[in-house]
Amino acid sequence: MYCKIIHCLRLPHLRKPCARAAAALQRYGVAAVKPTGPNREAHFRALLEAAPDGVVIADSDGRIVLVNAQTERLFGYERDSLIGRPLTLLMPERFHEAHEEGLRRVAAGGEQRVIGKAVELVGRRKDGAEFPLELSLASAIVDRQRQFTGILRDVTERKADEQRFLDREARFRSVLDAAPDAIVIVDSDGRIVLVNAQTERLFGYARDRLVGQPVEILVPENLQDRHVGHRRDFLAAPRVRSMGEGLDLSGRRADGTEFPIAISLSPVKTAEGALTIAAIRDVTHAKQAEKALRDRETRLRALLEAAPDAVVIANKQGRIELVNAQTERLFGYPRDRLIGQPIEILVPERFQSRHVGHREGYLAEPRVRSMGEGLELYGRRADGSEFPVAISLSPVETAEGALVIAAVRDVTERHRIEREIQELNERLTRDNTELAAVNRELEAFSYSVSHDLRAPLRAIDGFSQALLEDCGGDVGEVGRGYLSRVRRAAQRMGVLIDDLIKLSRVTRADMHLQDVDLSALARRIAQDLKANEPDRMADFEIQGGLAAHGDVRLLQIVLENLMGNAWKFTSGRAPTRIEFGCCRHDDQTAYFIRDNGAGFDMAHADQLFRPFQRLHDAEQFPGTGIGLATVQRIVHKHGGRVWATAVVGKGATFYFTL
Amino acid sequence: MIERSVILLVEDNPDDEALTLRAFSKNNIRNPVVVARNGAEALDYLFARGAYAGRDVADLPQVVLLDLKLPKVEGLEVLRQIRADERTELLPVVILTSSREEQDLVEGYRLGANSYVRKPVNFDEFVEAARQLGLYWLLLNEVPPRRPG
Repeated sequence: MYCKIIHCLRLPHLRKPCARAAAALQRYGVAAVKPTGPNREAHFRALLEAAPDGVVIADSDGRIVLVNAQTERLFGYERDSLIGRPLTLLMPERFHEAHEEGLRRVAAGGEQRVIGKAVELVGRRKDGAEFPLELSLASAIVDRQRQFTGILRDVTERKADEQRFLDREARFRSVLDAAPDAIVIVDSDGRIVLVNAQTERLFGYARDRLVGQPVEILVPENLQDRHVGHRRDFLAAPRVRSMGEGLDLSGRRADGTEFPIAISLSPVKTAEGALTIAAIRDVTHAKQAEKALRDRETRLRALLEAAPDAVVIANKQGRIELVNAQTERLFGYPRDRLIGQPIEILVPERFQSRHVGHREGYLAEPRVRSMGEGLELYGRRADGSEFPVAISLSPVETAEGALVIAAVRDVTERHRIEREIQELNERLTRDNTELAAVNRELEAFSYSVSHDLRAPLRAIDGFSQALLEDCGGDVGEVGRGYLSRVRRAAQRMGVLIDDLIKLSRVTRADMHLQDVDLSALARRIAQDLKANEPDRMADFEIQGGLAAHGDVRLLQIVLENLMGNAWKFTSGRAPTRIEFGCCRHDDQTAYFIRDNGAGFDMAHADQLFRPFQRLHDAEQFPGTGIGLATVQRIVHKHGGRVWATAVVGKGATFYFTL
Repeated sequence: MIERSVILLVEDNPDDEALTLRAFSKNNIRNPVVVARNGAEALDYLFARGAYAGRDVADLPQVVLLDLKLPKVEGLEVLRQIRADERTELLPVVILTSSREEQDLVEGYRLGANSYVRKPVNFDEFVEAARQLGLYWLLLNEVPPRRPG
C-alpha cells in the first residue's frame, strides 16, 4: 500500500504536487535511502510517519484509507477513528457540499480543479476548532481505483505572519495616507513606485495613473528635462534634503495647472534598489501669506523711508537693527555703518555712558514717550558735531524680542525760532513798557498843553480886550488895530492847541471795533454841512450800503475831515459836487471822497498828511493843517492807508482803505 | 436890595481870577466873590477851618466855581470832600477849567459836579459863559433849603 504512495510520488504527473512532500522527506534525510526489498514498506512507513506534514490518502468515494502520525496530531483524531471515514470529517460542515460536488465531478471525469495545486483550505479538528491548512492534492488510479493523496500543512503560523504583514502594510498605508504632505516614492529609474492619498488630491491623478510613470509627470512641462538631470545628480550623491531648502518649485496637476510646492527628499536603500521618498507640500497659501507679508513690509519700508523724522530701531541690547534714509541724512552715516552698532554712536560722547543707563531703565519699564517730552537732548553726527533733537520712543514686542523704535527730529530750527520768539517777546515787553511810559508822558504833556498853554492865551486875549474896552481911547485907532491882531493871534493859537490835542487823542484812543455803516455816517455829515450853509448849491452823491469794520467814532472823524475839506475847498464852485463811494485798489476795497473844488498840485502831495502843513493860503481856506494828519493816523490805526489825487482847479479825490 | 449870596471861586491863576471877576461885572453879577487860591484854602473856607475858623459852616456859598488844576489839594479832591461831607453834599459845584480831557469830564461828573464849563481862550466867549453861569446858578437855580444850625 505504501508503495502505491511512493509510486504515485514518482509518477511524473504527480511530481509537482508531491515535490513538496518529497522535498520534505529529503530534508529528513530519507531521500538518500533507496527503498528496495521487503523492507520497503516498513521503510516508507517510517518515512511517512516522520513527515512533518499530514498525509491523507482517500479512495474515490472520499473515504480515508491512510493517515500518518502528523495527521493524527493535526486533527486530534486517533488513526483508527479516521480510517474508513469520509474526508468531510476533517473539514467544517459548510465546505462539505462543495467537497462532495468536487468528488463527483472528478469521478465523472470532470475537471480536476484542485488537483496538482496547493490550495488553502480550512481544517476542522476533532474538538471542532478550525485551522487554516494548505493542501497539495494528487490523484492517481491505483489497481483501477482512483485514489487521492493529500499532503496537509497547518498554516496557522504562516497565516498569522501574513496577516501581520498585511496589517503592517495597511498601517503603513494609512499612515502614509494620513500624512499631510503628498508622498511619492520613486525608484532609481525615476518611476513612481508609490503615492499616497494626498498625492492624488494634490495633483488630481488617481493612484493607478501615477504608479509606474516617470516622476516628471508631476513636474511643469518646461522644467521636465531639467528635472531628469536633477534627479540623476541626486541619485549620484543622495542626501536628505529638507523641506524649503530648494527655491521656488512648482508642481503640475493633471489638468496642467501649476502650483508652488516645497519638497523634502530622503534616499532609501532597499532590496529592490535605491528609492527616493519625496514629501511634497502645497505652499500656495504660504506663498500668498509670504507675498502679503512682503508687500506689507515693502509698504512699511516705503513709509519709513518717507518719514520726515529719522527712525532708528534698536534691539534689547541697544544695537541698531534698522534705520531709514532720514537717519543717514541727519547723522551723516551710511546705513551699513549704523546697523549692528550700539545706539550710543548717535549720542554725544559726554552723554554716552549715561545713555546706556537710560536705555536699560527704559527697557525695564517701557512706555510710549512722545516727541519733546523730557529734557534737552542732543544728537551726534558722524563728523562729531552735535545738534538738538526731540525724540519719541515706542517699545515693540516682536518674536525676536523687545525692540525700541526711536523717531528723532532735528529741532535746531525750532530751537532757533523759539529763541527768536523769546527774544522778540522780551523786546516787545520792553518796548511795551517804554511805550506805556511814553504814552503816560504824552498824556501828561497833552494835559499840560491843554490846561497850561491855554491859560496865558486867555490872559492875552482877555486883557487885550480889557485894554480895548477900558483904555481904547488912549491907544488910538492904530493901537486898537494892534490889540485886535494880538487877540486874533491868541485865539488862533487856541484853535491850534485844540487841534493838536485832538490829534494826540486820536493817536492814544483805544479802538472799539464794530461794523460801521459808512454810507449813513456820510449822509449825516452831508446834512450837517448843508445845514451850516443852506444857501450853497451843493450836490452830494453818496453810494449806499458801504460798510466797514472799525471804530465808529474814529471813522466818523475821518469822514468829517475829508468831507469837511471837500466842502471847504469847493466853496467857490457852484454847483458843488461831492461824491462818496468805493472802488477796488490792489485787491482791497478803497473808499473815496471826490470833489470838484480847488484841488492841489500833485508835486506837494507828500506834504498833505503832515501836521500843520497847508497847501492853500489861510485867507482863502482857513484851517490848522491838522485834519488830514488826523485822518492818516486813524486810517493807519485801522491798518489801512490814505492817499490823494488832484488837479489844480478841477478837484481832488481822497482814497482810504481800512 | 436883597442880600446876595457868596460865590466861591477856587482859582490859582490871578489872571484867570481877574478875567472871571471882570466877566462877572460885565454881566452885572454883583454877588460877593470869595477867592480861594488853592484846594486847601477852599476846604478851609467851606468847613470854617484855619483862616476861616469861626465862620458859620451852615452859611454856604450860592455856587462854587472850581478849577481842577490846583496847588496843594487839586480840584477833583476838593469836589470829593465836598460831596463826602453831609454839610456840603448838596452844594452846587461848577467845574470851570481849561481842560477838555475826557477823563476830567467823566471823573468830575462822577464825583458829583453839577456842571462842567470850559474856559474859552476868546474873552468874548468867556464873558458869554459867565453870563449864562450867573443866569442859571444865581437867578434860576433854587438852592436846597438851609440846614438847621
